[in-house]
Amino acid sequence: MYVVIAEDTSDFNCLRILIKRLENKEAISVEGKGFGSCGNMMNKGAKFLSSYNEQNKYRKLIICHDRDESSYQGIYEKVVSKIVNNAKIKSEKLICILIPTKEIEAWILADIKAVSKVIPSWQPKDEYLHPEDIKDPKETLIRLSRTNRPKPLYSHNTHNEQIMKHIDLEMIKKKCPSFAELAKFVESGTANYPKRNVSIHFPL
Amino acid sequence: MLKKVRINNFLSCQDTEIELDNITALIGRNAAGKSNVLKAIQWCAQFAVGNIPLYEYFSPFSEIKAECDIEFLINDETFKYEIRITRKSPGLGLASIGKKEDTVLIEKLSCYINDEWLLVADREDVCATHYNEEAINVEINAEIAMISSLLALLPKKRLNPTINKVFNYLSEIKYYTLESDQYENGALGKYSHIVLDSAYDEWLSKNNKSELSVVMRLLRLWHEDKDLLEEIEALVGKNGLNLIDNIVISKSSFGQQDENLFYVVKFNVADTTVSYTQLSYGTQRVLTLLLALLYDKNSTLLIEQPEDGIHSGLLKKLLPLCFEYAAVYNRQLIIATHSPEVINLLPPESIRLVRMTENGTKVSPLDEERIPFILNYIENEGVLFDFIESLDDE
Repeated sequence: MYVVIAEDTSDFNCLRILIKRLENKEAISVEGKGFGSCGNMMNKGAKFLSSYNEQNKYRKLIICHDRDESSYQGIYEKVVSKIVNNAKIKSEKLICILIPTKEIEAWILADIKAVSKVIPSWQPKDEYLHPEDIKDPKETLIRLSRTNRPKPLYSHNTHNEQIMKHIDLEMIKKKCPSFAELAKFVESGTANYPKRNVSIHFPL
Repeated sequence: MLKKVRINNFLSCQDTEIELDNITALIGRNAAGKSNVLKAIQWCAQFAVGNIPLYEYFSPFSEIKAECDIEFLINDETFKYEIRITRKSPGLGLASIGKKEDTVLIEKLSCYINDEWLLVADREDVCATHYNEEAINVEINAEIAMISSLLALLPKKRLNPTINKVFNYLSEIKYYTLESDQYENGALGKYSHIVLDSAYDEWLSKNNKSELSVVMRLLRLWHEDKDLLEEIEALVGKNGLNLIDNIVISKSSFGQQDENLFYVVKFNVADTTVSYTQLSYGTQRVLTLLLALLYDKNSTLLIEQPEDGIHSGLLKKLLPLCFEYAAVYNRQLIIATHSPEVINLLPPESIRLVRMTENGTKVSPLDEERIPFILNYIENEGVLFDFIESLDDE
């Protein structure tokens, strides 16, 4: 079983779907929540995770925090100090501090054609070879959808999790280092805490 | 788009001012006057276009004078519509209310040009003056609004085109409680999936008045705009909000006669087929909200507590979706809400705090100087609702 915490509910729902797909087990349990804001997760995340300490129910923990404009290392250390350390997580748990380079919408840009499976009238033509280099992936998707005016209109809170059911996982692994880290954690249990896996290149 | 509203002596709004954005959320405890602000806007706009009577909401007991001014933007032009109702003999009570001899009605419509307000038309009691190339005086009915009177009385070629533009804009300001209407609540009872052809025709003939029936509007889309029906189906369907799998509409008859025609409007939900009234309360409200946005095509939607009956997870999808539609289709949303979920989805600039004071309802935005602090709070500490909850709302 997994426990996942994320900044917002949409991110949490997307991760739940992706974990099940990577595990190839629909029945695997993924519990957790989105906190509505980054600040809220930082302040309440540890307490939330502490409630699982006595339950001994999960083996793998994922804490997802967008990198946005900060450095990878800065966010990593902030998550460790404010959440991991305060939650007093047992040492046998596997922990992945997942830091999408900007936002997880970059993973959708990696396989943008998947949006057509959810919104058939939206047929994107462009391909994004390095989606995690795009400054604002969510805004990019919104802008693209507004140019195309698909029916229904794209709204990330509604459609992201549906799109995640269809995106090509292998393609995202190749294009998005942050997703590759998630995949490695799920598929082979490679944790990046206490020490981040240095084999994956991230700009620090 | 509505920019500013000033209300005097209308229900709890004794002296209330509010500035509005594309999306504005009125937040405050019960009985603070949030709904009264929405009702005042609705009353002012709908009275101006002749859709509701002058005396709706107008208390007979204490007011000597009731006023409402609304400032609005149509394309790049700013207009102001003002209405003042003065009672000649206050204190006479119920008997005198509604009597034109007891009331003086003043209306003004102005346009903001070159840093000043220029009159387009005004009226005092039964005398209206319309300004175009020349001033034209017209005698109008004491209880009928000026704009609709001028449209009815003046020949098109003498009419200032602004009047038509304003009439169309104000007609599109609509108040939504998102409750099922009378038709859906009872008229069809347990057979609410069946709509007689004659009932549909009757509804069509009085459409755009007050009958906001979801079933009838879906039926109309089935007849006239299948693309939009499909879009709504996709929004509530499995790839959208995941509430209704399909909306199934068909036409049938009880016999060979044309007069026995009827429609069946059904909803497939998780392997069952139900009528509209059998949908959950929340699903009914979601459908009502989506139709308000997509079918009604009103410019300004005044929405009463969209969160009622809706699960917080669904609300986090529904509201951003509505905001997307509002932005793309240029609709203004003014929402009264108690919901932390709704508040947390909004930028702090869109929040208006509504308080009841000894001088009635007061509305204020969050202090501009505090906005950076609030954004920092959201980034590092918590959610917007926590911050708002911490404010002194006395």
